[in-house]
Amino acid sequence: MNNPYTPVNPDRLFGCDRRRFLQTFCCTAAGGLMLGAPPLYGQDDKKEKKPEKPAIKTNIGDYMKVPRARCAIPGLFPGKVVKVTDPDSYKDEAFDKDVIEKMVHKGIRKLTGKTMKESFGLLFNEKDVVGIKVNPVGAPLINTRHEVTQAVIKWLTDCGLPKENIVIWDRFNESLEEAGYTAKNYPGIQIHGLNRYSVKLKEDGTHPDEPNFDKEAFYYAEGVEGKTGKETMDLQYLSQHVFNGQHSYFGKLLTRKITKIINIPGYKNTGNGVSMALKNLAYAAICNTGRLHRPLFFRVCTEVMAAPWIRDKLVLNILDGIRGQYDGGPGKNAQFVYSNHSLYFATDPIALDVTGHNELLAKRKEMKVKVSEHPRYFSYFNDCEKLGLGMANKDKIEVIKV
Amino acid sequence: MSRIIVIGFLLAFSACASVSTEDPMPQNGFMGQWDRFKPGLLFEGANLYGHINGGSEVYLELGFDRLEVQKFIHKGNQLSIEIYRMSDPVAALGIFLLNRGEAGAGDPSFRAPHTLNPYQLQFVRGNAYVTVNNLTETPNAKQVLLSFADYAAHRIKGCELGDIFAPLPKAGQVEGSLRIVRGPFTLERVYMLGGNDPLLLGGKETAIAADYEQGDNDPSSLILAQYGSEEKAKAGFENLKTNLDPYLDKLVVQDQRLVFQDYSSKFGEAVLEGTAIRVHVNLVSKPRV
Repeated sequence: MNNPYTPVNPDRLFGCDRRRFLQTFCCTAAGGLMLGAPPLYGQDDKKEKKPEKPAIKTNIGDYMKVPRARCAIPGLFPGKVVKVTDPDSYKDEAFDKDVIEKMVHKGIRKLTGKTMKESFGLLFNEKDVVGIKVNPVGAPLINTRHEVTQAVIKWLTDCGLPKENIVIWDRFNESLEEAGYTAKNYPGIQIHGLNRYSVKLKEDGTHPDEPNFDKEAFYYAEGVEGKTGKETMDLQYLSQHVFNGQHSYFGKLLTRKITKIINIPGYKNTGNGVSMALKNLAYAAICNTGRLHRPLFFRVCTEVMAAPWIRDKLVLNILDGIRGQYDGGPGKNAQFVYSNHSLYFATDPIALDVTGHNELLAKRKEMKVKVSEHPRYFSYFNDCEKLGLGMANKDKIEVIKV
Repeated sequence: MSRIIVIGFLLAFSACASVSTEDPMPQNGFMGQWDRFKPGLLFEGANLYGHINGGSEVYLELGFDRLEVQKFIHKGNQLSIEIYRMSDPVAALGIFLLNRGEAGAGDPSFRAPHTLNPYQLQFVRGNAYVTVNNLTETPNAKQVLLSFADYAAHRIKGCELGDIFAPLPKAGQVEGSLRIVRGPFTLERVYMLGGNDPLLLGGKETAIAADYEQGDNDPSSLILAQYGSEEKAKAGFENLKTNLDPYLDKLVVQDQRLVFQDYSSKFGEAVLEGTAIRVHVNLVSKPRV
């Protein structure tokens, strides 16, 4: 299927002329605050483009040089989101596994217009190694539900994918275990964290999980390092993030093992933005992320998705909105958790997050939470669209409700 | 008025003890049932990102020292206690106010400000913001969470802050909207005035904020930033004028007054008042002199 998006030069997108390298480090307070204002897309078209400000240099240009794979995002159904709602999915504080499995089937069939077997054939083959990216954070309230993950695994295995070709993964081993993603609960399925975060460094000061990361595949942010100058804190940082220089390396799981990705994020806010499909992948696929939050938060959610090891392998997104959290995120905050009874399906992660963003915005207003609709909380979706990753214009996104 | 506000904060701090000497984490065999499960975790300073992957900024900006996390287990049920040691009681209160939502009815026997539901209890006491989390479907969860919280609270020194929000008008104030602001991240939870700390609070100066009813319209927000000196307040005001968010259009720019219009066609006004800056935003009508 043709991709209707024509990617723009990413260096111009973020206000950094390729022929002029920054001489001084320019630190932003948070991703988007110093990026200038790319033209809004389908939002407030009355606003003129604001003057661009110097931005942190990254290696997004390298990603854009790599030819796109056939199944690269936005995938086979750009701009299409299927929302399946069933109040019986979560009732009397219990999740109904059978109802949720039916929702998964309905969503996939409606998205593809095919049977489950045919849908499998559209997206996978029996030799694929499929990595299922769950979100284990916030268990048992807002993590990816096991019922959803199990339904997806059952679909894959029923269609002939060997169990040993399925990997449930996340950034941290401990997070997976704490959320119940264990070998015991998923016999025969690989469970894989990119690194451990509570492990002692080796005598030479390096993290024992360094070999898990691919030094040839990275996200580079000039001048942004995970170093504080205080030894104890730097050692703590290393024990969590593995590296602390200007490079965030992709896990070898993504670059050398997994051939396809199914993304099953949770449904929650992060401040006035959302932590859904983009955040779930972008911040989990690479190490050394602690340094990136303050200066480049939304920009990482954009640019890492353009890396070929994600862009070309991500074939399906299922947003787990059986329960949602409308404030206090991205960590767990029980005060703001509510029953939403819905799953959302898309090959296009941008369209999916735009849909989730707008729904959560409406929920926040309904619950009289303080809301800011400042363009920065949405403009990164427009940037994703300009990079050819998916559709950000909510008026053009097709949301099919089942 | 501004000097009184600054003095009020100084008195608030001096009335508070700083660090508890007892370990607020329960030991093995707590309630005759709960044992520590795996070693505790410690996150200091910016390493908080290792625990809250995104969302740590507000803690760090308000003033964060360290987080201790300990899990407990009993017959397969698990819970955790997270003790966020903030730099001062105002910082701890600031985090609690951000996270409490519509607090609802807690438990009258637990005297620290708190929220309570079967999955989580959160409270603030002294320099500490604490959450007790039900990680599995623990039976009788609320009582268990209360017992853990009570143990911890008795070992964390409290203090009386007084009414630090007294300078904000009470009339028309939206319940639950009080906020502490110490930099751009906590400020943007109230309103986006610009990047890179537009009010030059720097995590050291403190602003207070609240929302106010505007009839059928969305509430307005009032931010009162208090500085240690007139020079600092003036520097903050000049910085605001110079680095106002690019999505805010300046309408009136004077030595001590700034009026602007935002992307939603609402208005804002910032006024320099001695050692304070008063900013009123999301106004439906353009402010008059």
